Amino acid sequence: MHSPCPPHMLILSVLLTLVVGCAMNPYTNRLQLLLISEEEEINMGRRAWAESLSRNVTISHDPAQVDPVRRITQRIIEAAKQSKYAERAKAFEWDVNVIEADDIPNAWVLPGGKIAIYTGIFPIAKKESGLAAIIGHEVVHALARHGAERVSQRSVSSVGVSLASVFLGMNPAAGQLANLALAGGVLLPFSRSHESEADYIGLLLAARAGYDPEESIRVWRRMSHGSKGSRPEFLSTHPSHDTRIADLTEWMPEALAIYKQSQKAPDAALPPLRSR
Amino acid sequence: MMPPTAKTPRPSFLRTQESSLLLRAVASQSLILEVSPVACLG
Repeated sequence: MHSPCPPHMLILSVLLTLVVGCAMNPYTNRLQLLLISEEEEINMGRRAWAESLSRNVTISHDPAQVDPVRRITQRIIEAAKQSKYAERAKAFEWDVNVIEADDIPNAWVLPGGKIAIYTGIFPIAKKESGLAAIIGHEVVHALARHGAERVSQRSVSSVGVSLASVFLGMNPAAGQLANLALAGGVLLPFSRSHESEADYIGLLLAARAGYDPEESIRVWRRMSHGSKGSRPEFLSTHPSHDTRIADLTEWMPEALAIYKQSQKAPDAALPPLRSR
Repeated sequence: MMPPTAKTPRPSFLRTQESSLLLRAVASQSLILEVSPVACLG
């Protein structure tokens, strides 16, 4: 007959899982909880990418839009291959697409290095060095395995709330409240730390790739001027524009020192939007 | 992280993958990493 697992053994196994699933970011020394393998994460990203592109999106084939995006991405990946992420940067199957959506000033990345740039980000980036700040940010999200970390955090949070519900006899309303507290107190701060990490390391990679890092500050100023009523920072997945500008300013001397030693990249203006 | 904007393509691949139920539930909200939470310009 099986005896039930003693509570201390259960706690020990959970702790062991967490310890085994931890990694340290080589730039910021931040501990990361990673409960899924890199291979599994990359496969998830690959499937999500295929599905995203098969949906109702218009992928741009206009060389005026695509060429600078591919050129910048390539330079930043080459810089990443000389960085602390060299092995991962060499192993990823990088891909980038421009999606025609002039009203979306955004860009995103999936695990394994699948990057999408909306044309709506062009007026914010303005020129190639501005777009390098955006692409550098996305490249770092992939290299730092932020996707896997978020999946891991949410898994642990869900299990934690479920266990608490069972053992503390919480009713559904209390469970909802616990979820909200967890989101505001744990998941959102982690999300903002991922964004800051991507801003910081992305700034260094873009500088190493030969793009003027000071343009990143102007990008976030333009984003700030163009934004319509953003939510308070503590309720947001991202740091506020002001926080990002202050952080970038603080990191600028380090980035400028790297930029000075880099082989300078072309810095042409990005094409105007067709819809404007 | 904030869910992608209304026009951001959200992958539904997780409906069919073999991963655990828990991962399926959480991953769709976690995989896409955007540069900005801004949905549209004023």
